[in-house]
Amino acid sequence: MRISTSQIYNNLMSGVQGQMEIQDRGNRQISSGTRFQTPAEAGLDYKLSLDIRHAQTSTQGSIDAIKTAESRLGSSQMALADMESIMLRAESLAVQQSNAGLSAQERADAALEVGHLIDRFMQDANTQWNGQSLFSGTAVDQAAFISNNFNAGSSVYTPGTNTSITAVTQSLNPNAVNDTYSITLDAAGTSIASITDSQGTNLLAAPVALAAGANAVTMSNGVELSITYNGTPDTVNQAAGSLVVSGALQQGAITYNGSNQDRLVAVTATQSVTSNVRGDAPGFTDAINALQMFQTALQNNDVTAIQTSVGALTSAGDGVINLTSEVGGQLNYLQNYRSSFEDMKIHLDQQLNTHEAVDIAAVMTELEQSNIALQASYSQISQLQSLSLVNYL
Amino acid sequence: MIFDALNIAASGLQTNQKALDVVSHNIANVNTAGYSRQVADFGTVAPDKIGDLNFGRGVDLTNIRRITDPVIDQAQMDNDSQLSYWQTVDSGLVSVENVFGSLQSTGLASSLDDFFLSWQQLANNPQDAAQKINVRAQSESIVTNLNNMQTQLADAQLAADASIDQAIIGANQLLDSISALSQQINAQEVGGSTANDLRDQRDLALRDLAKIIPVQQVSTGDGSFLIQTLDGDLLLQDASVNHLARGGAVPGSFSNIVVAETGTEITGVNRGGEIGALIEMRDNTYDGYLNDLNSIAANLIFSTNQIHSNGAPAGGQISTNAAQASNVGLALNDPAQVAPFASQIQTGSFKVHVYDAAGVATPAGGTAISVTAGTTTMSDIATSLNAVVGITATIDAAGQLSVSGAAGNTFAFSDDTSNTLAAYEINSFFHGSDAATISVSTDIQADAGAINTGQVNTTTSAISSADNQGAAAMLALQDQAVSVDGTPSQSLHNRTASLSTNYGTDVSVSSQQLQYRTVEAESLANQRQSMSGVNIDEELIEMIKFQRAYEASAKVITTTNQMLDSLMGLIR
Repeated sequence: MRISTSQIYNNLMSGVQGQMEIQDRGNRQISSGTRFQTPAEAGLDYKLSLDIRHAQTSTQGSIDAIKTAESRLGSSQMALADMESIMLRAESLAVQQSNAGLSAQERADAALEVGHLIDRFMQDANTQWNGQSLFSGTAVDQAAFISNNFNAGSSVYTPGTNTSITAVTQSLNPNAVNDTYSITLDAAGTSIASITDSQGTNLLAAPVALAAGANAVTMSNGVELSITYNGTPDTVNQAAGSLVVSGALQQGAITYNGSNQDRLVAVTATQSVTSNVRGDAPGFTDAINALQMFQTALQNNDVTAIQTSVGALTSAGDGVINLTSEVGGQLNYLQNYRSSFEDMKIHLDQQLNTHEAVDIAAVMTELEQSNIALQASYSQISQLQSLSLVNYL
Repeated sequence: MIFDALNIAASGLQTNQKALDVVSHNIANVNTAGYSRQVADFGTVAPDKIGDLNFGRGVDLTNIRRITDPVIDQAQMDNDSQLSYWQTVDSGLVSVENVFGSLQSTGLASSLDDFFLSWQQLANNPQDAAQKINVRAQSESIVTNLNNMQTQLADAQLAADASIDQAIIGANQLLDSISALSQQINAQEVGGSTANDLRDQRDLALRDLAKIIPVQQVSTGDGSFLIQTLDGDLLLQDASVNHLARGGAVPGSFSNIVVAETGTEITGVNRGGEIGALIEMRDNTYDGYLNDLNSIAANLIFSTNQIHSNGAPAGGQISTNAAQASNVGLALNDPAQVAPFASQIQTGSFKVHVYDAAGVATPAGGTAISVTAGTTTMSDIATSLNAVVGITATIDAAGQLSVSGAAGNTFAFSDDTSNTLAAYEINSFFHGSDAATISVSTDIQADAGAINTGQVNTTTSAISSADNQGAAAMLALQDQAVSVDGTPSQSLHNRTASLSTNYGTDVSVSSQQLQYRTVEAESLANQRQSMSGVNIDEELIEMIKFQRAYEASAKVITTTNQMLDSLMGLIR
């Protein structure tokens, strides 16, 4: 093949340009530490990098989310542990105070201590974490438990088959009792034969004769009903109907004030975990009721009731322990869950490094080869001058 | 007869001197682009017949021939057109490289990850005002990324279009130049000689023209020089030139390329050359990226608004305004509605919950507002809302709905199965329809507390301060396949990653083609150099050859002169 003078120089230039590109690429890879930097250099590899980084961000988000749940549950566990010790102390006190030989003053003193225990229990139950109520579900801006003023409640009467009773209302409820009452007339249809509660206990000591118009009937639990009698006895049907009394609260009654919605922590886009213990769990109510019952028994110097409280406190204490155990179990589960994400994070870090990192030894070898080729090219270019026929004429 | 020898030697002197001129011309043009080496062809002068003998009368320069191979020239022209095409594509892709980010700063992909991470953090601390500010900041980061990417791509598209104008000017200059050269060639070749240098210049100009627009040279029976586009549109025939120009404006698009003299559209220009690449980049590559980007934005906007418009801040809202206007006389989903997502509205309903100053909802569970696609208008919605006790709905002159609570009242929306709230940006998170228009809603820009994290309890109308259903649903959106614009359903992450991958693939294809065409160009240039290039050593040898022949002819003259002297001496 015939070779022109320009060809010789052009081919050398082309070779030098190629080697310079290798040098440039090698230098970029070594300085950045990565095989590529932009999608232009490696489109599909870049996408895989984005996918891995996306997974890394998600994984870190999951780890942080679990830590949030762990922190909340850890705080809940501490409060529950204190509640446990309160219940243990109350149980111990109940056992001591059930001794018939103790005086009323000693029980009154114990009642004061139980009052303090109740206060401490309520403080624990209303514990806040970062300004949020721990046990009030998603209503974190509200105290989980509140102490109520007296409320007589309301009543709803559902007529029965007896046609002589036209209306029943609740006129007094001094003990703030909530219950369901069934009213039955005698065969003559002129007297209230019985008013039974939801347990089937008759709350009337004796039948109450009815007068035409409004009649006031006081039951043994203190609740007074106003019953309207039309004066015409129904001798066929005895069932006058039922009355449901609800919403009645004693002065100082403690009730749950939170929401019935759990606080879920979003661990991933599709998975979430519960990060709270709700105050409407039976363990809380049982414990508060048992403590209040024990305090009342002490104040009343009622040994029988104190002895009953021992069982109630033990049972309620077990309920609190169960709650604590559940939280402990949940925390163990979360630790394992977090470990799996931390393992995944390490794996992703390794995967990203393997995927993106440059093989420095290989690049250096290539650069060295390129250096030698460049030097040879430069040498050849300088030699070309002396190889011209011009130099010999 | 002795004078014949002098004449023959003189012809040798003259011819070799001319040959030496050719050699000198070759050496002088060793680095001239497009130059084809020339060769002096010698021929004997017609002999004299004297008696029975034919006596030679010396030598003459019969032709100066340029050494070319038309096949290589044609291949080079075709390859140059493709090389220029891919160089322009490669350059155009490099110019928008920063739009698609790098591992140091992955741009949209990382801001999207951070956006969803901020929602996750908010979902896990929904009452935390700082987390809401973080969500707003990350949202604004996405908006900025989308806006910037859209601007850069749209600018690149406009720049490509402007470059077409420049390329057309260059092509027209070359067409004029080729035409002028053709006329000069025709004038110089009247006597039968070949205008070597002019033909080289015309070939070079033709190759330069092919780099701008793909053309073909057509042979004609009468020897005319004719250039057409690949689809056969005549561009030049000797002195006659059809110039390129831009056609009239096309609404929503770019103007075509036409023949300036006739206004006829030129087709097939996108198959090679700089103009072809610019058209491809403008109409397909950049436009494709913009479409993908706008699709990401549209899906992000509508999907986010679907969730957010169904949420509620703790305590409800005092008032809200639709960010999209409506034509109150048309159905909400009528194609003539200007709201970009009006077509997403379907038959269904949404609920409005009204709370008094104490936070008590009446009625508990809210009031359902029915929407029938194709029938219900914004006026109907306002009428239905006004029937709900405790709130007032009005529509302003621009057709934008406003809802406000009566004194002391608040309200909240939920359970929108009709997409009305999201389509008309009522209680929405984003405003806009694509990457150019997307923005965080003005309410949220003014107060991050307007970000809804929870949802109304559909039975009780309660809104808990730490309810995170809305924020969790937003996080769930991260990996959900969505499509509101007829594109294949994909998650937002996949759409974003695909955008970068598509760009990377385009660069990869472009690089491969450019590499192939460059190697091909080098190969063809080598072939042409091998055939037409000047080798200085070769020319110097030729020079020595002609010099020696010249010296020999001179020697013949000297010898003949001596012979004449001898002859003259005899006479003396």
